[in-house]
Amino acid sequence: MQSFFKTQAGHLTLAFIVIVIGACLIRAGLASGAKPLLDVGVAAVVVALCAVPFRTFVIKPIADKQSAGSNSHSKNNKE
Amino acid sequence: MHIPVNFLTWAMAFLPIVVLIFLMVKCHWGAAEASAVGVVITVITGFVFYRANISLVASEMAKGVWDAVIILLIIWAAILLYHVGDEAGAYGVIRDGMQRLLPNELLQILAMGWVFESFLQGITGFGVPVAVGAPLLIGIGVGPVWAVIMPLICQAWGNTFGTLAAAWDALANFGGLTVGSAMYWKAASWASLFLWLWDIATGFIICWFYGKGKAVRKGFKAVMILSTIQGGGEFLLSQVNTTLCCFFPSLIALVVIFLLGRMKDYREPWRIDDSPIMNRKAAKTENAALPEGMTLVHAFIPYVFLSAVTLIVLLVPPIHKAASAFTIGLSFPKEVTGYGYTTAAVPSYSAFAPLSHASFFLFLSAVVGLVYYKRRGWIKSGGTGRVFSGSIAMTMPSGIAVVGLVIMSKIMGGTGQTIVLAEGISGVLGKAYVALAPFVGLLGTFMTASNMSSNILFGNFQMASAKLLHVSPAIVLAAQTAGASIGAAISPSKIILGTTTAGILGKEGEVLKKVMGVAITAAVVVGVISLIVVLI
Repeated sequence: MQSFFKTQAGHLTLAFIVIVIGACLIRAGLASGAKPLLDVGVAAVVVALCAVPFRTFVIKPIADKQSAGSNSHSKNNKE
Repeated sequence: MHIPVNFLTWAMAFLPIVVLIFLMVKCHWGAAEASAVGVVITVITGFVFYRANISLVASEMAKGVWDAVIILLIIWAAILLYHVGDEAGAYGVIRDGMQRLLPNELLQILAMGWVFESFLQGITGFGVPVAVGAPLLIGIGVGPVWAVIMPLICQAWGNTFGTLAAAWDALANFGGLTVGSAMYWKAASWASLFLWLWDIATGFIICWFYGKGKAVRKGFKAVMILSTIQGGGEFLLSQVNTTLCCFFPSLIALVVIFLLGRMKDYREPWRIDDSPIMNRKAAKTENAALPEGMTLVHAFIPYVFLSAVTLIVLLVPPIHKAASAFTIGLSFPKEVTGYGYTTAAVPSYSAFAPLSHASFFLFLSAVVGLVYYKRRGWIKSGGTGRVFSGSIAMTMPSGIAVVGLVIMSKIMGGTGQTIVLAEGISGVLGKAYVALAPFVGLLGTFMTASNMSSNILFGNFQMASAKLLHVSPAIVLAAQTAGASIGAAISPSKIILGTTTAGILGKEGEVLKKVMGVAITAAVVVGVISLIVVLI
């Protein structure tokens, strides 16, 4: 289970879960008239959606670069 | 409602769509990444230019998530069905079986890419033909991208009268057509005529993709016979019973194509070795992996069950009534923008009847297939776990994309951006607007992935525009639903269904690029014919 949430599909599943929680908060806010619930719900949905391109175009390239850098470093050490 | 319809508001409403297409087609972003940007832009334009408030945006977001969850149930169930077949090795058997029954490779592709998808569209729709069709085509050796493109194009003609005419009924309801009236039948005849032309074009497009002029000449007889049955049958039956006018011709075509395999022109092995759509290397490596004792009939058992259960539940009134009795829907309050654009309160939004929904039929079919294949020994120990875990892992990436796209379309609709888009086009063009009526329908399906939703969204608007312009509402409504059908071929949400089951998630832009030209051309033809008819 832990290894699944470290995969691409796992991260997207987490994002989806956050989106559903955000939608539930929105429903609760609409039903009770509590505006803070609406704010938090909208924020949760938007942040979860935006996490996807952020991970693809910012986090992953940095992680790949660091990984390539450390591989090259250890290769130099061996030589 | 006093939303100013000017170039600025129109451009701001169009901006999210343009950015979405640009990111996917030009920048090769996946739909999941691009839709997030689309949502952010839509929310900003909604607040800044359309005077939406947080309650409205939140409400439309929640509606979007609910709609997306219902769509995702279909995606997951279709993927589950695919994984059952894949785990059992059924697709290799289908490929081999088709090659024996239909030695002509072009006929195999027409069967699995066009006729079978049309049959599935006739009974179930909701993207199932695309989700199921892509892996079947891969199983007969088609390259993954083409395995997505072909079902997308080929299922589109059946969207209006398929799924037992759900989209057509929505058009009649929201477009103000009285069932059985002269205008109702006239609109049905024009819509089915447009779709017949699109069906003919679809067959030849597939031949062209397969092998250009040589394949078109070879496939000419088959395409004309099959499209006469499908599109022509729909045209004739649309004047008698709109509910079944897609399903029955599609069923007949599915039987006829196997008879065509015995015709002199098609009974010998024939293929184009360097066809750009075929993946010859993958076909060769899979030849060794066939499950022992499985025949073509065994491989199709889940699909036979799917057809049977769908027909029984949807066409037998007492069963349909019982299955539809239990529904789940969410209530939403009335919302109004600063411009007075109102979204009515709804006590049960997008009411979902689980037992008569396509996802349930797919899920049952997958379970039946799983149990049957396990009993026969074609799914080994641990296979059930692999099927379920694989289906969830494959669904989630597309889940985010679907959620993003649906939320975007809901916010655009709820803030009035969609109506401004449509009114802007019609206000500027006068009677020439009729030529763009199919594009309004196409836009609706592009955004919502549903011919039905497009008809709901724009049916009333198209009727009002026709009356304002003193042109035939029957033609304009027919153009709306024909355009909406064509739009099903380029809807990002539908594309994702195909790329997910084909295992090429992230290549939605590549698929869209190839299909868009075809779809736009078809919409132009429908528009030109419509304009000529109203001007005569």
